Amino acid sequence: MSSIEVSGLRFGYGSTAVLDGLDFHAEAGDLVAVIGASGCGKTTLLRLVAGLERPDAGIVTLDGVVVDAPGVHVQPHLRRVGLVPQEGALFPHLDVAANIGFGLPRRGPERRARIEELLELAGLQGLGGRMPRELSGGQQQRVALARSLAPRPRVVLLDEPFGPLDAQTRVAVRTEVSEMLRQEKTTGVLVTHDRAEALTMADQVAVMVDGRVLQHGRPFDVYDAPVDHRAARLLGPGTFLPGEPSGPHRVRTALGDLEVRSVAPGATTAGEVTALVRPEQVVPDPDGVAALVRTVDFTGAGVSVGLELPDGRQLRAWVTRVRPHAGETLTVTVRGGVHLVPAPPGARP
Amino acid sequence: MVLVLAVALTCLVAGTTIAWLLAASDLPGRRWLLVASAIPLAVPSYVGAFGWLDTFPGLRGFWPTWGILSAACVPYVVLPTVAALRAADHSLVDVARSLGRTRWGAFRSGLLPQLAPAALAGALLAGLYALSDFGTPGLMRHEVLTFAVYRQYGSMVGRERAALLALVLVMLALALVGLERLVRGDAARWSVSRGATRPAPPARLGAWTVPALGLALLPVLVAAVVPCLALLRRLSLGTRRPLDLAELGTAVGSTLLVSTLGGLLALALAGAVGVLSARHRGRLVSALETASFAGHALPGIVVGLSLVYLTLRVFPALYQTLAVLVLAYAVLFLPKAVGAVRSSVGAVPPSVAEVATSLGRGRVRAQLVTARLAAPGISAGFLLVVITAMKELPATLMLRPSGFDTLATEIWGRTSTSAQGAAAPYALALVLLASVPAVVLSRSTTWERR
Repeated sequence: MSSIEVSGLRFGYGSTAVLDGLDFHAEAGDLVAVIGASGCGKTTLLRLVAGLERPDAGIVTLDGVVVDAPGVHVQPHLRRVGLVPQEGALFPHLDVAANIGFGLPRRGPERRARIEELLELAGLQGLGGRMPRELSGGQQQRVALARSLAPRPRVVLLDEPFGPLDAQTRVAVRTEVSEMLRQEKTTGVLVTHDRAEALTMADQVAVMVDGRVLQHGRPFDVYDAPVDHRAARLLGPGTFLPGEPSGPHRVRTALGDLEVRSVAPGATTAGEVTALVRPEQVVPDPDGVAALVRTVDFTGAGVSVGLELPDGRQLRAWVTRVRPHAGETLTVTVRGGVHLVPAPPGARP
Repeated sequence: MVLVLAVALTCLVAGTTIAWLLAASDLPGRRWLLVASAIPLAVPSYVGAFGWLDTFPGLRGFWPTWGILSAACVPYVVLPTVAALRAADHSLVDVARSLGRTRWGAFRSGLLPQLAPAALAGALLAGLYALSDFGTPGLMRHEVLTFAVYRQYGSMVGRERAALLALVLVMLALALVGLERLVRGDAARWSVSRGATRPAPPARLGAWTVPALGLALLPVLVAAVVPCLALLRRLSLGTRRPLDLAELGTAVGSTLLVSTLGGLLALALAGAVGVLSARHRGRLVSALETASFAGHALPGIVVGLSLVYLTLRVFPALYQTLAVLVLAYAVLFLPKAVGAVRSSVGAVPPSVAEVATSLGRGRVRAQLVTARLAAPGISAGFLLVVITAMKELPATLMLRPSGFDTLATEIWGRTSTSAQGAAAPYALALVLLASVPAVVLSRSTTWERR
């Protein structure tokens, strides 16, 4: 059974529509990442699921219970939905234990034990008496998650919870948070604009553009076979090469005759086609196409190279164990086949 | 004492509510209302009292005094609370909601603790104002300490008792100031460092819009609109004693003169203290800063009284000279100026001056860059001192050179001799004069906060 089932959701401020007929679902126990550019309505989706706003139209179901529908609006405090906002939003006047216990019955027999359990889950044993300002950013976020998990909610909603952390802490806290959710077997929705975060943490990724979910699927599938250029760009860099069919499952492009691995629904397969090439698919090959090296960004593990093809097209490549220099020529080919998408608007013929 | 408590509590509750309405609801015209809500600051409360008395001569005693003082003091709570609401982290409310709290419960546990320091500090300032206010209770014939001090002082024989009563007054005021600093010091522990917070969507008022508008406008009506209308009405009626324009002009001139001089002196003293406390922390500097805040605690009447004794005993030559009056203003309003200088200098990063030094400026010329950046805040502090000095009554009454009349003393003189009509032009002139810097001030602060 789905933990969250959202259909036809509409919401707007005044005449501007923020959500425009959005469909979304999360299976029980999954962590679903909602990825989108800022302003696409990700946070609004969370606020609606939490019940903090009332939709203009659409149905929201949690664990099979309808919480929003025409004439129905269950108040947020009765929904059993946990919330972890961007800045953690710990209650600054309460210590860590009181923060975690905030949503628990004040005099329940279970209260103490549950707080201890969550302190342990968050790796904060013995820190229950600390005040929030005495914690590091990563610890604060773990307390915020523990607090939302304490009353055993149906789902936990995380709104870009790693934004304020520095890059190294972020990677560590990501793993800890996924682990906490997994151990509690709680369904989670993570809103983010960070593709690495979405791809590493989530069981499912929902790509959101202009108030709608454009694509929903496993991270591998969404990365390898995006439905269009917008979804492709949200999940990673890539180059869109025009080409024409040269046989069954083959296209001819500026990078040579390539195998077609998959085709997005709505993509043309005859006449003019558009192929997506991810940077890591571009590999040095003495029999390949000669390209001029324009820019070189060395990151240690590999090199991100900006190439210019003979026809003037720009190509992004990610190569390892090669040390190119600007101005040199690199002969490259594409490995692993290409994915055809609908032509991006404004693409050169 | 009951009056002080009542005023402080009323301001706390009404001020917080109004601040919430102005900052977090969809009240129509709330930006305009915010500027309007600062207006009572420009109207001296004794002018307010005078206006009401003139319309309803029967107003006497506790309740009218309470009403006018509360209305006049509400801005002390509204303005800082609005600022706190804008800086507050509203996601705490969302979290509390998602953890099973009702709308009111979430407001109480999520937002109220964030507003409490600002609102409480404001309410204590209101209480302090009520404690040291002299004109309003005097006009309303409600016996309070300040008025008792003045009466004893007036009756020559009672000077010792005046000093004793003044001492009691100072103790009470010091207690209030101590509380205020305690509350403000507490504020530090509320801030968990975090980046930008999302503004909350405004709450929908629905059927409550009209009563909410009424509540937000009430203090402005009570403290400013009604008194001004009363003054205008009185002017149009004409008076038994014809208005002496030359006399009015002199009073305006002297008011401007002493308040500006007082402002300048306060600024000069505050400059030293403020820059020191913003840039160099140390025990001596903190002590100096605390001492400069004493003026906060000292009701005008007490400063007046003590300067009378001081000059008579030590510098008889200075008794009843302008210099003493200017000094009194500077002492009384130093805290306001220090606060402005300290926060505006503190807001300029020290690195700016350091960069200037590295670009070849000398130490002093590098600090001029800081001064230039802090100038708007410092001039706001100066204006604040000037406004308050214009309205100041008791110290002015006691310390002015004989024959030297400011607008405030003229009003007092005429109303206490029941020449109400003759006081009206002076009161109106004072309100107009004080509202010019007040409007400048509220526009600059609302602009900053946007």
